[in-house]
Amino acid sequence: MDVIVCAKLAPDPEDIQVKSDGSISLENAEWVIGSFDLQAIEAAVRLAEATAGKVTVLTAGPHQVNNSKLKKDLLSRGPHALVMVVDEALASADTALTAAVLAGAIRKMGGADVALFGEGSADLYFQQTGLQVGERLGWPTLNAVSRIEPQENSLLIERNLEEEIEVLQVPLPAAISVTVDITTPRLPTMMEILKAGQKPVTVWTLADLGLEGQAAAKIATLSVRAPQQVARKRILIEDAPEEAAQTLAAYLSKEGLV
Amino acid sequence: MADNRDIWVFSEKTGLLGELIAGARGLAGHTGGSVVALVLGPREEAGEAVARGADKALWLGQPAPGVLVEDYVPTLLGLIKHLQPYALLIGATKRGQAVAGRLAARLDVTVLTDVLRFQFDGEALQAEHLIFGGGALRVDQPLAAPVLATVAAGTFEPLAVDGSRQGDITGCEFVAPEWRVTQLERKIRPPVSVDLAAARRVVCAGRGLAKREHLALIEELAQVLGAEVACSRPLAEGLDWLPRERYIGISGAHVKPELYLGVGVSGQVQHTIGMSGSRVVVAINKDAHAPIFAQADYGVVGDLYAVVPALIRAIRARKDKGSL
Amino acid sequence: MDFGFTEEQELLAHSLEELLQREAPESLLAELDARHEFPYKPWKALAEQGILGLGIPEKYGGTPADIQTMTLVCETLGKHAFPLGIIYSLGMITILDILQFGSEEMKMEVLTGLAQGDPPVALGITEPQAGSDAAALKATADFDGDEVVFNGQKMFCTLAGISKHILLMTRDARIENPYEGISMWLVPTDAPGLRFSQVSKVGWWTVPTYEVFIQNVRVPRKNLVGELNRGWPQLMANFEIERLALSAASVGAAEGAYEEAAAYANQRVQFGQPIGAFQAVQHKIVDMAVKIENMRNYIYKIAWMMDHHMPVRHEHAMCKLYVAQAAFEVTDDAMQLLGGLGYTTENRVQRHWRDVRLMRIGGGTDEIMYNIAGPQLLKRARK
Repeated sequence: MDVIVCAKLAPDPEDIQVKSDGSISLENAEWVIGSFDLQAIEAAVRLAEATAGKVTVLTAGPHQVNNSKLKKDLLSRGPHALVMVVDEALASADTALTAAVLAGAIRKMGGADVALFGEGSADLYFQQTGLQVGERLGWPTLNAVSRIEPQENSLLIERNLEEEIEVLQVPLPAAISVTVDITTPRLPTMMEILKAGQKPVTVWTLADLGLEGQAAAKIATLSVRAPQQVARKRILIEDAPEEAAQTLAAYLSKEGLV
Repeated sequence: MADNRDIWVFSEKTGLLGELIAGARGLAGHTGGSVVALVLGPREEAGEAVARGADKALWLGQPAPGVLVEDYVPTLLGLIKHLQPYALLIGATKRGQAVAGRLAARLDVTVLTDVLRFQFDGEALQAEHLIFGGGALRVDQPLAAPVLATVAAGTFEPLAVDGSRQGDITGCEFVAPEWRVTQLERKIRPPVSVDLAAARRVVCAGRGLAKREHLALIEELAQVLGAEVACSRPLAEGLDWLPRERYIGISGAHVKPELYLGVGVSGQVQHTIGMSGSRVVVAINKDAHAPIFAQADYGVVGDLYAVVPALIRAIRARKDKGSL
Repeated sequence: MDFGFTEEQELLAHSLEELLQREAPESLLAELDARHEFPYKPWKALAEQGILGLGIPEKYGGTPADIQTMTLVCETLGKHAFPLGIIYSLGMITILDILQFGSEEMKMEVLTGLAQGDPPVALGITEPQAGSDAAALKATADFDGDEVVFNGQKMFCTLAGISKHILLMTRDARIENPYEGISMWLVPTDAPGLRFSQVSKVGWWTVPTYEVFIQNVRVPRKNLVGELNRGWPQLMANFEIERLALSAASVGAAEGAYEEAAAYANQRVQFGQPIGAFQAVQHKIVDMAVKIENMRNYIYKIAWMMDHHMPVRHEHAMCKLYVAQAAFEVTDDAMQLLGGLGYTTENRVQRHWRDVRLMRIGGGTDEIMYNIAGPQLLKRARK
């Protein structure tokens, strides 16, 4: 089975800085592969290995994603090739645009048997992209998938839902969004890292997909601010354990909790 | 924008549907439209939706065996295109996310996910939700119609059931979907052992705990405080020491107890966003620089293995004194 | 002058750091140290990631890698899991000796074993009366038909008791010039006649060191590594890279200690302020950082020279000398900065302090490094 796995390259949300006025800065954040996408990449590689197929990673973003080290990072994790859609319009794309772009790229790539997606992007975590791409392609599309088993011309999947695990047979081609439970991502070995730089990379713009100028925004982002913190007393007790426990118990008592 | 000012709500979960109806009433108050509940299940539930505050109900019927909730996307799409509501609020379960995403793709709009709050700035609707793992609050204004949004359980308080409420209940034809998946099995999970969202007090275990056996210490502390036991995500998902329902975090349980006591919890924002509404926050951690202390009312810097037993004794002593 | 690493090296270091966080967290390292246990599981994890195969040809299960990359690996191991860095470095000399001088059969057996997670081959040179004066070794090798019989005693033979083989150095006493009478043999550690007695050390607790008693131990003749009586030049050929690897691991350990100290300086409040606000502490931090910077520049310069096939006869000795001393000073300053906490086993600084101290002695003492470099430097200064 040939697999296309979508991964998002974005500033690492762990590096966000909150400025004194409450606004958010990602200036010093390193661009990384989304943490949830690593599981999707691994799942794609294992699926392809089990079925003697190929894996292509697909990513879309502004110019920062067209970075040599990031490309090698993606390709050192098992895929055979990389396709990137690079366009500044993607710097602040909503899911509708992202999904249109990824679906367009998948069509231009000639489709695949399976398109895999992570649970959600590491920075926004809307958990929507895979579902919207699949629907735009007209493929069966499902989320919360924690297990995939290839069959003759279909996939046997398990969906990890709130009150049940649903076992489904899905015809191909299919778009599947996987959970973190699906597998543990392998760590790139030196051999894979060395080979990464030689794997094929294709770069397209929105114009190449015939999508230029169609980026009419579906939402306007009005603000991004640090959430209001509840003012806390921040009383710190640093005595030896016995004394500290007594002090704390006294405070709890004053709060009516003990 | 649509002429129709109605706010539609949909969730396959009855309780969540009730919450959405309450939330939708707030929106409908501004738009001047009706609240319409899309109900999947037995007809009585359509009646209950009205009793919970819906002005009308569109009854989709009871799914036949092997028919998934998601198979109703074409049915919902047809209704939306025909009746053109202002907005559709969908309960943010996994299935709800799937329905929302697929509808958005067909309607060429996007989804406002996990909305915490809606407000109107004049005519313009605004929705607040968290991004960056809980580190930032983003306010978005939808520019395209209809507005699609997902809302998580616990965001709105459902209205009380009022049996006297009247509302139209209209049955809707099921539109067969273009593709079907075969449901082979449904492994129902054992019922949730705890509803953390309802807990009045919570003792939360974090990565500071070295071994699974040490949870006994947490349980003892919880017991002496009359609290539920919770944990941060790694103890539930990575280590499997506690069931999923017990982890507090952005993608886990959200709690609003009168007491949250974190033991060996570092206080990363993805976790604390799930408990920031607590009345009193207490933290015990041996790292004086752990972020939790900035988010706590009372913090003990010390080894939990020494502090927690001492605390248990101190609380017991007070209780004994109090009961004399 | 490009001081940067290649993207491949950066990706490798990152991947290795993640591996170490998963497989060798501090809690495990502390536990293994307290129990004086060899880190079998983390070592195996390194093998599975291909780390142990770096520099070994692909046909034996390895990955080609230059010396700068291996230096980065040693530094990274040293910083996050110093024992693994030491074990890795100790293996360097024996891998290379087998690779360069061993028979195909030996290479197959030893190198593939190493790439799969065997502890490295132990090096049997030092004897009770032959330390820095290594050429004074007396262990004997006598031919008997198809076999060779060994007798003697080795001291400070690290890993011997858990390795599958020892690279044994023997001396033919009939040849007057010791440097022309030493031979190198591959001896399986399960050969009858070998007895191991573990030596109790101040540090390196997870890397066991042994006294080895050799009594009429027999191996087939073909266990000769390289040429008879050419053992000394064979051995010397690869001491340089071994010392570089040990140095790199030590630099990593110093960086680890420094990080603990800097974090503590920001966090520990005394007299109403974090102690990092006091000049005395700041000066210490700067001194430590300067040493680390110097050490890093030195090890990578030597690695670069070796990759470019430039001689490093005295340069490597100067590097090892500097690093051994400076790395220990950094761990010592770190302990001082941590105060009482630094002296407890709660913090890893004490482990780095104990472990790094050996670098002034092991792999060639400071004094021998002076001896190597001194005459060379003066020779260069002659017109």
